[in-house]
Amino acid sequence: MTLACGLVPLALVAVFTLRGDHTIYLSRPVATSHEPAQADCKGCHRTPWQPLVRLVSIDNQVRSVQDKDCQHCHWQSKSDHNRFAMTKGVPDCAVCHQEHRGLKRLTERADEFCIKCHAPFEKHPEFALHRAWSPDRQQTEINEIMFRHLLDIAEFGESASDSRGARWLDKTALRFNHKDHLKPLNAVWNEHSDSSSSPTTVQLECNDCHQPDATGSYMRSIVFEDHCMSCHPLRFSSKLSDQPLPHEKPEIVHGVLRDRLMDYVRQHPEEAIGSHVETPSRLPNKPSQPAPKEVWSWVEEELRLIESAVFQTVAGTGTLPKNNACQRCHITSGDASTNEKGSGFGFQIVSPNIPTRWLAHSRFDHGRHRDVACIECHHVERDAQPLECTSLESTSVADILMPKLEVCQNCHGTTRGLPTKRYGRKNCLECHQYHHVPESNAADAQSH
Amino acid sequence: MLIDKSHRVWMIITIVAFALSTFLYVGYSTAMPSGPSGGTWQGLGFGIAGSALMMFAGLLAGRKKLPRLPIGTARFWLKAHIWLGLLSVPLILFHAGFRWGGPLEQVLLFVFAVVIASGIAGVVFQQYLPRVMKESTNREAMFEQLPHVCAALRVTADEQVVATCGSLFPPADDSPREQESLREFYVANVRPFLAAKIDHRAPLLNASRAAAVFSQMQRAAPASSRGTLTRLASICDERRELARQARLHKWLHYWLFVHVPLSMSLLVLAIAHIVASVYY
Repeated sequence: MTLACGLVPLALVAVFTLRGDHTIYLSRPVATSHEPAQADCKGCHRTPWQPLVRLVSIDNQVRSVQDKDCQHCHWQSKSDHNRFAMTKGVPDCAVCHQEHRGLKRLTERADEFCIKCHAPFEKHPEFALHRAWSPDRQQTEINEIMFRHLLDIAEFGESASDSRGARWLDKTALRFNHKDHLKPLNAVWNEHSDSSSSPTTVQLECNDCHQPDATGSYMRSIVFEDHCMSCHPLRFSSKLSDQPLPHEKPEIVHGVLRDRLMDYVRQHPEEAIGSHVETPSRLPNKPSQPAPKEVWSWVEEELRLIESAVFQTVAGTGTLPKNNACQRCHITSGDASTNEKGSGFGFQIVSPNIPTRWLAHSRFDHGRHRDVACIECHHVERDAQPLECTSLESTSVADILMPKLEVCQNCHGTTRGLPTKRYGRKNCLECHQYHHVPESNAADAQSH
Repeated sequence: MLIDKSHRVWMIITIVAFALSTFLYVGYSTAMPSGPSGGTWQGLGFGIAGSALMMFAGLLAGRKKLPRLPIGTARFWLKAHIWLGLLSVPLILFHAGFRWGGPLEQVLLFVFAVVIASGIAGVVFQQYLPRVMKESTNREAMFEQLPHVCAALRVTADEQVVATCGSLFPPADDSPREQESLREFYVANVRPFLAAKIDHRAPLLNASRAAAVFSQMQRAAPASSRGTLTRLASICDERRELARQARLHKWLHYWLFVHVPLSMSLLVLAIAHIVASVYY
């Protein structure tokens, strides 16, 4: 009987092993995506005797499944974790994506692992763009790198337009006023109307300009033609009122204006005839044509007049152009009338550099937050009461309207400060993406 | 083996080793980001220690086969078997991280649990049952001799009844006989009770019920049968004690039929688990 009790399990184990079915050796079920290969341990455990090596070397960094084994199928690598230097070492794939844990997806990572090194959400540091910074103050290595990114799109200092003290200011080189744009009944020009027709009036909402991208997660970049032109058509001349100017560099606008004026004078030669010497026509029944030299003179004169409106410089005067001149919105340098080198164009637009992402090391899905009003998160502080939701009162592009950490914690955390209770998850992976996804693998990343 | 003062040293060693391993486990499990696991070097260490103790406990059977070897007395080996076998339980649980694991691990843990439980039961039985046997049975016989003793009791009882009733068989004619009730009672109730194997529902197996039956027979039987009835009652008492002795003997020894074969299964499964786990 003892012998039988020894032979029976031996036979069962031998049958499974000789059939190549190693499922009896599974310590726990594998993730759903690995189930087709779970009968063959060698699919992942390509290097044998690693547990023995781990024991002998007394080192848990010796993995039974190494990164190169994962990369037989997966493109990600541990170098994606926080491109910045890690003082504690970058974990291997198997450290975070632990198989044989009964997880359906290996990307489901309990926060208990992350918070061994990082703070839990309740103790999450304030977002960098809301923290004080000083170039004189010694920062930790991580903070210095994070602030370095922030310094590309913002600057820390005091705004001349208010008295809120030193803070991060948006470096976008534009003149823009949310309050003016969101006030009731703004004027909108129909794109097919000319300058003589009256504009219609509309009440702008946030989503008239801020529209989600194809993924629904983030907002599309602001494009003049899509978001601004209907209210700020680039028409500066009654002669060319049916053709708005392109929203381009000054030199291109200059060239387009000249071409259109040339076309105009060909269609309306009498404009150039009135003040210049008439060239007799050689053909019967044909009107006299202005001489080429006179045409050019007329065009140059008209060009000068129009460009004095388009490229008018009022910087430093404390006023803005009343029409849709470049300086109404753009920060400029130089002067259209000056030409220091004798060629080229002196009037230059400072590139706006509107940031596309503020919190670049996190991920956010606006689509999932569609039941939250914009101003609940995007607001500007007034009188140290950040949750008054006064984004409608932002008058300066320097205002960073990104929410503070406590806004997120209202739903994704324990504070629950809002009157309507929303309960969002507070897992680290809700916001933080470990692997930085190249664009070519964006579709793959969507499955994470 | 009785657990007495001579086990004190073993008990202390086991308790100290358990405390030390618990301390190490708590430190290791809290330090691991993803919790304890059998695959870490600490988990493997616990597994190896637990397996080594199990293997050592299994060597007791071999030690019994080689009594002349100078490797410690049988008592020493039995004590080591008991205490080190008990110590293997927390070590294996620490190795497993208190998880069931996969199919092989689950079977292994189940078999391990049955082996340990049967072993503990065996120690408990050996601690108390011999005293119970001694106190509850006045007449004993060697367990292997019980069938012969029962046969001898039956022969004696047959002689008593034949001497009183003339025959164990019913009379050829239908004429009523004075001792017929005694003969019928003996053939139907007493004689089967004196067999080597008793039906567990037999009324004479219970002492008080047997006394009531004999008392009733004494009142109903003629005076000439009462002496025989008294002797039959005594024989039944002796048979009852032998039955009790047999039952206690089975409790005292039959747990080994669970403990030893499953230990072999445990050994085979443990080797399979060790090889697979260390290879992959």
